[in-house]
Amino acid sequence: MSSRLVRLVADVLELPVDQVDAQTGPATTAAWVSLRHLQIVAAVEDAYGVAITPREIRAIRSVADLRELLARRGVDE
Amino acid sequence: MTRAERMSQHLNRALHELFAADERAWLLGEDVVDPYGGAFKVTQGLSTAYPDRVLSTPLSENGITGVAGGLALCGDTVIVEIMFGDFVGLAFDQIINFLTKSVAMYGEPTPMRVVIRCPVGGGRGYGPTHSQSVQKHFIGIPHLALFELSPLHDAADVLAAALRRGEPSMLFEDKILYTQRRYVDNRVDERLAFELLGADRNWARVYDPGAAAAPTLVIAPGGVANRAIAAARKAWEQGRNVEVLVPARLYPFDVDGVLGLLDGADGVIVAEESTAGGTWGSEVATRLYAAAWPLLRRPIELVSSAATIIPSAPHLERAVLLSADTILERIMHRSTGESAASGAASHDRAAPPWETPGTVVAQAAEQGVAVSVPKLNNNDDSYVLLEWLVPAGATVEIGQVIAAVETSKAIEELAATHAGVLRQDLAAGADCVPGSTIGYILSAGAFPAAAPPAAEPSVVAQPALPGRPLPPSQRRIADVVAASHREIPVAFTAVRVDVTAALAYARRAADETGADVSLTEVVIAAVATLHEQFPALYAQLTGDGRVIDAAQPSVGLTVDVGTGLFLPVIRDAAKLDLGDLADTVVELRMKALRNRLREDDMAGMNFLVALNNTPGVIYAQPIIPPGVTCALSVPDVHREVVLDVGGEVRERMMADLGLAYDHRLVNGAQAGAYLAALGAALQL
Repeated sequence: MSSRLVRLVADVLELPVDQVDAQTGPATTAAWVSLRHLQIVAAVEDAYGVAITPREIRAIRSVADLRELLARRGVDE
Repeated sequence: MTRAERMSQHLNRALHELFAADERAWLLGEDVVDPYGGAFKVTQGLSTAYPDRVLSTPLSENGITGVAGGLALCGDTVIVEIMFGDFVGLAFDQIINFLTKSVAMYGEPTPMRVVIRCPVGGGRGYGPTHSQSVQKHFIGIPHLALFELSPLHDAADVLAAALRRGEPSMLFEDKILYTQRRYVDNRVDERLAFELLGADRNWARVYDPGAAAAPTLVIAPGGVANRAIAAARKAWEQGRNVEVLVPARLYPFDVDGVLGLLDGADGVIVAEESTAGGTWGSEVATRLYAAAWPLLRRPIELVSSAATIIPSAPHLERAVLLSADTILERIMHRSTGESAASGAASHDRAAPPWETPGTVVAQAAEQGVAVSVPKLNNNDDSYVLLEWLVPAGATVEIGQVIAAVETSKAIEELAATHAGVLRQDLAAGADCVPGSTIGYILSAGAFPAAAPPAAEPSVVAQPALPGRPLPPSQRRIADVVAASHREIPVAFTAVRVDVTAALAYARRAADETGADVSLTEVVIAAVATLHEQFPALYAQLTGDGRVIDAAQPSVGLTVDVGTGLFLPVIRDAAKLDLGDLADTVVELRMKALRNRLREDDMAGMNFLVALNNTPGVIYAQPIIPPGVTCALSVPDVHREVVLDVGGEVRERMMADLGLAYDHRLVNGAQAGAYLAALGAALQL
């Protein structure tokens, strides 16, 4: 797991890095509410220089999904 | 020839040499030991080589400096690292009441070999409290010498010179320098050479050996040296000869080392990054006037950063901080024959341009093209200039977005209608009316750029009022809700709706498409389908008592993602399937998050869905925006245990949907029927 992506998500969720892993998502983490979801997307777009479509935003359910999305874009985490 | 060291490496090596040569040298500071090696890596390796004498300390600038004073009293050598010079104020008492006094107050001279290192300066986006240039606050303290790291001087020599004084010193280190390389072999570039002058080699002089014209002298501390050199290069391209003079020791100022260069010079400019007023530059000017008045052809001019805080945002930081272009403008401006008196009086940045615009502004109005605020909607008499997106003095292209203006509904961007240099006449945060001029685009080169206006000039100009102004984003909403309250006789009805089926429907849609759908979209879809059956609830009542029916349901949605409350609109919502609706909602919320909602995104609403679904909220009465007849509130859902028709106990998910309606157009019976139909439409 990319520590940079995990750090980024942990930053937005205001959680310690060790409480965030691939499975972390709205279903597992109370802090991951809809506003945080958008902020995570914005942070990923900014950090990796990618544009994420609304459909993709709705499909993201975990850090692993974010990682897959970046991989599809050919972005090196 | 090998490449010159970067300045952080160079200073690091100088410290290693000092520790190797002086067994009584200490280094104290926050996080200075390995592997961290200091916030800017200047002390790397030192604690490994000298673990007993390089100590990481608690976060106490006062304490660190006091301990340094104690060690110095015992005859030791101490280097203190203040992590950010902005915080050296916390050590001020130790400096003025202990370290410097100890040199002379015990009846015999007492050497105090302390160097307090202070990283200073901006340009790295560290914001108002980690970017300042605090040198000026330490000028004039007896027995305190000030030095500044320079790419033209050997740092080991500077440290040795500081310690040789037997008095406390401060070494200011511009953070921008750390990653830059130093100049060696008396060369700056192919054209420019440099030499060190004076018996103590305190002055570095950067000059063009082939130039014949009388030079303009730019005196700059080490942190500004590269900006001054860049300005000198550009001035040379425009036919001006400029020499840059950089002292290693700022204070006491070394007049003698530079006197010989003043004779024949075509003016002196002192460039420094601090804010104007009581500066090192003022000290330089005072000393030079006293010592060299007959040699000066013109008044000495000072350039510095704008008199405001240093913003974090890079484009704003660039607008505030002293730049090479600021120095260049002063060099070129004074060379066009501007009289000495007016040059000093009207353009000295010691007098901020927003306080004394002087003749410069009038000239600009004639030479430039006005930046005007267009009429953006039919609702507002005035807007707020939210932000300049290009710094004052920057060159802009046709079509380039230069400013953001906020209306009562949205933020609109203004693009440049001409190419040229931007001048800003109105400060961000100020009101502007449609058709007004907020700045000018000047023909490039016609005019020296003005510094950015103060963030809140009206606050500066007026007596302080109690309280604080309503933020612009909230003023926009305040206007909308106040108008609603004035104009709309509102009535309100709520119903408890079983949304178990609607939630299950949203889940099924999410599972089928792999993308989340929420109750919000299901409700919006239901609201859209009810338009045909209940046209009056989507109609608009005009001022003269006429009713205009909506051709299509265009559903507004409250969006608040921390950037203010917005009411963007999903147009023709009945034509969108659930997935498209969900996409649109996400798109609008992302736009709000990024401040990209535009007037167009807000236009055409004929029904509002107000989300009040903060956890625990079970009931809310929404405000009806003017021009709309109904607003439906969607609260958080809650669990209830109910008896079904067969007498079985069941757990259901419930929501109390509330309908606020304009009673001029809609009566209670219609509202009740509408809510009943909505409840039925949600039993999917």
